Amino acid sequence: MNQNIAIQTEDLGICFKMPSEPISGTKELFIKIAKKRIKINTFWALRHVNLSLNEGESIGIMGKNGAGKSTLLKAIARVLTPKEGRVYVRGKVFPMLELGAGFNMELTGHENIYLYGNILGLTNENVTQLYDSIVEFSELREFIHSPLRSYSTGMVARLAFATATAVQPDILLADEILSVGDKDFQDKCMDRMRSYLNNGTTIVFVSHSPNSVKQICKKGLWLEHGQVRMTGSAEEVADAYAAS
Amino acid sequence: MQENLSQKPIYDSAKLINPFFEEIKGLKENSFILRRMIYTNFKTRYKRSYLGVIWSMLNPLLNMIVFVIIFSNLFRFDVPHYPLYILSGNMIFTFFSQSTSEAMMQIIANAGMLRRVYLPKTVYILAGIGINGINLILTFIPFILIALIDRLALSWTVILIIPVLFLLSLFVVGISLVVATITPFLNDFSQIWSVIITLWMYLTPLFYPVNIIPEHLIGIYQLNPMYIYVTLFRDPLLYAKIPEPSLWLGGLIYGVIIFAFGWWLFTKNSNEFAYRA
Repeated sequence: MNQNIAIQTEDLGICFKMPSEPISGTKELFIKIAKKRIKINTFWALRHVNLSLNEGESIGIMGKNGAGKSTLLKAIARVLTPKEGRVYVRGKVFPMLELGAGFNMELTGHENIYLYGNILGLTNENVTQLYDSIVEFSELREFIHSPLRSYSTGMVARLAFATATAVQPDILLADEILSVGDKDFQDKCMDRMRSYLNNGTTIVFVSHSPNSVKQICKKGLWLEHGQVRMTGSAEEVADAYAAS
Repeated sequence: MQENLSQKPIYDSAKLINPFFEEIKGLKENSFILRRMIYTNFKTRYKRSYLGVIWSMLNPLLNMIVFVIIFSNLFRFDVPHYPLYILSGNMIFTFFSQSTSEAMMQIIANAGMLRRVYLPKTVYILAGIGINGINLILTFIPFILIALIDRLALSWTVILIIPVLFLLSLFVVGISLVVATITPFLNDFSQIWSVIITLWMYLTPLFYPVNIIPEHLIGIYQLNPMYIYVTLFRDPLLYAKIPEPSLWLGGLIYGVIIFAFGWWLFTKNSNEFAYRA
């Protein structure tokens, strides 16, 4: 394996097996087994996907809803294991969760920084080191010992963003994050990502918007129905996608 | 620089061979997350009640009082240290029933996380059991209280409950992993499980003495793993008695085999949870 590879997929395939009719309970299961009515349909969310990304490179993944963009991110994040082919990832992967996803509303902001940090793979010592800068960035020092349920949505988002971006990851997976939040917040995200890129982070960026892909990424990948429709530079792919 | 590169963690799906051992490795690397989640569960459980953690101790005590009132007057069981007999039995059985019924919901309850970040899935299950383990330890406080009132003479055999609790934990983790594997595939399994738990409770000598079981059924009755663990727990704690070797052997076999089976079943299927939950 090449020394500089950060992410590589070889003939990656991910499929979902679904019964032709939904089975919700035990009773139905037994009835359907008795009647031999269960048919399992296989749906390939991704198939024959080849992707190779060196360290410090950025790739923008485009495609319609249901094209397999998020599934690809999940395969890289090890949330879904491949049914076909192979995924190889070197470095600490940092998924940009939907903001606030790992939080517990009953805990205080202080406790949530540790909880969220731990979930993202930071040890308690790591979080302690970063703690002050996180609180600083979130501008929530006065409220940090109040439970999260007393926060406004905007405050939760700020805390989540501050915690999630406090450390520079090896690999950043960003899924549509620019579609949430106001203009200020989106600019903050963009700035953070650019500074990551300058410092050698590998970024996989999923977006509907060809423009933000062009702004951030060097490479582009266009997925359609779970297969690669086009690869190339971000310019080329984004333009082709926008034209389609 | 070169050294720095080689230190980066590598995930290669082609090199994942055996989920049974892969999970142990992952759990070891992520033990700090497990600790954090147990702490979180513990903190949030009683956050909105006035008495908070006191409930952990009050609950078994109130339960015990109900049983003592009903059974020592109505049925007149002649059991030495009857209140403690009930309390100790309930401590063990509650740990088992609460852990398993909470563990089975963990995958569904944490679906949001499961779909976003990779964590060894046993973390969720063990976090659910861990808090019940803490609860079990807390119930020793009311136990000691009643033991003082009841003038229970403790002997050195008390230390034997440590290996007993260890074997019990193996068994509880094993069963929890089995039911936690079934639930994501079968939504209403939790209802079935609550019936099984009720039946299981009546088949375990929690509030009646074993000698009321008919002679010809006692052989089968004693195969119940919960009978074994409850007796293993009570003999040294209440009656200064070293449990019979056959009980130790039974507890060991059930603990190890169920644990290994549960771990195998769970890890074999845990990659599917993200598709299901």
